[in-house]
Amino acid sequence: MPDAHASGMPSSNISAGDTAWLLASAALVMLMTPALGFFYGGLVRRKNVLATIMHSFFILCLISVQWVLWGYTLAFGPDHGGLIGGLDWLALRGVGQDPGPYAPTVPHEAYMVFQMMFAVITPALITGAFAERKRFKAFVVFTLLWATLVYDPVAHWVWGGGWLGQLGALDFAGGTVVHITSGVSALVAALVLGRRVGFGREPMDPHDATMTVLGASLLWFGWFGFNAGSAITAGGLAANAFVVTNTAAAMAALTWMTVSWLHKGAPSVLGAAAGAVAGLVAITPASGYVDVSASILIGLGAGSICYAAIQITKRLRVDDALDVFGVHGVGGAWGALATGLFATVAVNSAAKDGLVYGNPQQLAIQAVAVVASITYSAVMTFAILKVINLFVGLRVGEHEEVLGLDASQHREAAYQI
Amino acid sequence: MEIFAFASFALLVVGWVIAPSRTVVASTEEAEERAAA
Repeated sequence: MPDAHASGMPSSNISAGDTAWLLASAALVMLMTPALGFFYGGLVRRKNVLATIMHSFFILCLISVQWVLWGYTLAFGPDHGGLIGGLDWLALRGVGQDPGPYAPTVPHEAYMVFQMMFAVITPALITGAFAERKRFKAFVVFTLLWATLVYDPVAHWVWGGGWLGQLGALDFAGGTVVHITSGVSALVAALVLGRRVGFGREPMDPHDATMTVLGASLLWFGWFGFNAGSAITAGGLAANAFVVTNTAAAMAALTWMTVSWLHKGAPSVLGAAAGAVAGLVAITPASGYVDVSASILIGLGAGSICYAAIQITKRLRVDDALDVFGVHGVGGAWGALATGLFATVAVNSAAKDGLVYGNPQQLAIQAVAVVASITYSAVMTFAILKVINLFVGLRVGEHEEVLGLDASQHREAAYQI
Repeated sequence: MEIFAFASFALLVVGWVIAPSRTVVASTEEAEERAAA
């Protein structure tokens, strides 16, 4: 019998099923970031499509390295005062094939890589707000600082043993950690960078709606790993998360399309795609705590509330280019609060009931988590952008912007036709 | 909860029934007119 450690064999309490599901889920979530690139890429003008896709692809590479070097230990390392993880797992020292403290039936490395994919996609979500005008160098520095100073601490607060987790905030797969932080930061970035040249005066229509619908469909596919994978076990809780995720996405797509049909006179294809994403966002924090009826109501709310939020930001002439705040910020906040409404121990005995099941305190806790993540993200993102602007300059020059970022930043063209 | 879920879906069905259908026809005609011109 060979030595288990030397041969790489797992220790006896590792579940092959749980490990297989978690690794497959990590791969599903990985796919979401390039999918986001296509979702956003279709929405921009053709002169900016490569630059937009590059934002997502580059972040996949950048945060994959940042996470193993210091991101994981800041987010999930041993707690320091409820605020940040320690440096014990710097460069993944001590994170190996045996289970870690967060998941007893899977290798610690599997849990780490699953969480890595969340850290990757979160800053990628923000890129939709500053699309078509941000200098690539500024984007690189911003992403590295934002991941370290915003994502890692908030992930620790909620999932790494920090103060929000200790308070009892429920966030199954990232309503506060992923969507509120990215959505609010997107709004701040849009305000700090200012509007695109020609905003409100010339058409800025999506250059390829089919690319956007394909991207949304791949996001939906990957989201099963995002939410059902967050069960960490391959059991009933994962199945419930899978079902409510699909239901909320579908309901929100139907709702957004219907509302836009009534509002603007035609059933929008891009609206259906955006609605599906809004539903996926809203069910994310709730997916391990609510039943399928609640997921229908969450989807209904996401489709209508996020649609209304985007109409308001457009009326205020905020150039959140690809509606990141309306979908992720507002959708994430709705999902986090809806968790406080509809959570039930009948779905997850390790959680708490929400308001509908007689526990109004959970809604108050969810509200604290929402306000804390909004406030921290907004302040830190503003500070990061202002500091970067001093040294690098956030925006490209007007000539470069008119020429397009594909040519001015990357010296490449998306299409040779 | 179930009753609210059914009511939500019913609300959408009502929306599809009352949503404008002439818009699509009108824009198609408009496109044809533009193409002919």
